[in-house]
Amino acid sequence: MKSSSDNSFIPKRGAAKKTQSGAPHKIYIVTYISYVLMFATLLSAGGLYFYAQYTSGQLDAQVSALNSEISSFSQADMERITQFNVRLSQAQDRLDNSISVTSVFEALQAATIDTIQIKSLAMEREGDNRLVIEGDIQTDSFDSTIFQRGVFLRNGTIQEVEISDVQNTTVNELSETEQEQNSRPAVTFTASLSIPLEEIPANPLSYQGQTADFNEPAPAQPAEQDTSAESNNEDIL
Amino acid sequence: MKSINLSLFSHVAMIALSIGIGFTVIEPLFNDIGEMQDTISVYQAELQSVSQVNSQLSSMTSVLNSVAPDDQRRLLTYMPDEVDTVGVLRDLSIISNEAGVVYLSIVSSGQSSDDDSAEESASGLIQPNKYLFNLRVEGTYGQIKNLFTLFEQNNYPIEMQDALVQQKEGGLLAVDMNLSVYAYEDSASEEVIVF
Repeated sequence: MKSSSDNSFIPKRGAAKKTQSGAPHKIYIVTYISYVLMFATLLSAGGLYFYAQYTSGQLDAQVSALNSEISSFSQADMERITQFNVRLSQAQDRLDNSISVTSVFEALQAATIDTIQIKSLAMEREGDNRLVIEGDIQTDSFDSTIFQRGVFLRNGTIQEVEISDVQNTTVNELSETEQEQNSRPAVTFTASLSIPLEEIPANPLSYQGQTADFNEPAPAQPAEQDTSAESNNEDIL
Repeated sequence: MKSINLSLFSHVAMIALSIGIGFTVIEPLFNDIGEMQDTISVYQAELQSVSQVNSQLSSMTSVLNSVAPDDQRRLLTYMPDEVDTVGVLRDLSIISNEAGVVYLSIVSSGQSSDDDSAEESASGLIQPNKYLFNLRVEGTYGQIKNLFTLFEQNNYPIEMQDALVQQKEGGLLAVDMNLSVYAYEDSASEEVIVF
């Protein structure tokens, strides 16, 4: 039995043979690669161009921000702070190295025996390191000299002690009636002492509340001499 | 066959063109972008440093502004810009009177030219300018001690550099001393502040 399609007046076409040669297939791969490469290149170039523009904008923004930050820096404030800092440091340094000469006198009082008489005293400050004291001292015997040397050496404040120019002499002095001169034997020597500055620091806090403002205008009349201070006179000299 | 060769040639040309664009456009753009990003990093780091300095400066300025005017005045008195030699001579005479000693002479010796003046100390601090004054007084031991006590109480440092104490007749002492007074040495250009 013939099918209904066999009666059709439309001529039938046989099944087409799929014949593909090798050459067109190769061209297709090259075409594909070339198109992909071309588009990728163009897209990359375009994208990179815009990204470069964006990055350049970012760079400009950073430069602008840095310039703005630099311009907000106040040189005047910096100098003011630097000056204050240096001034404060210099003041602190002087304060740290300030000494109490009164403490030196008190240390000498404590380290001087009764038979000693200091004829003269030279003090010299060697930078911010130490105070060198040289005293011309008179006493009555060598025993007193040796004893005094021992007292100086045992003193906690005085660091170095050197006794030199020891001489046995006679000294003339007025008698109690001051009518005639008496002469008596004496021993004189020079004592060189060294005191580190840290042993005799000034203590400004101890003066709080009793500070006199000497920077005020001078009084019209100079103050009378304070004779009461004489009562504090110690007999180290 | 001819069209196939032409098509192949055009595709190879496109590939070559792509490679050419890659070398002539894309690679320089890449390099430029890399350089710009490096520069941005540098600028960012610098911006951070400058911001930090500004921030610290701002906080230091506020600390400085918070110092009481009285304290600033005391500091200026303790370490003045310049030493008023006449003022110091006047102060020394007042102090001498206050201590009860008799002052024989007060002389300004001017600015010290010592090596340790206006030079760096061991800690790197520029030393202040030193001005020397010579003071000769006479008085009792108690008065001399009192004089040195008053020096220590002064509003600005009066340092004894050297002194010669000699016994005089009648229990009096003669003291010849060199004193130093200090003034601020401006070393702002040499000072380095480390943040």
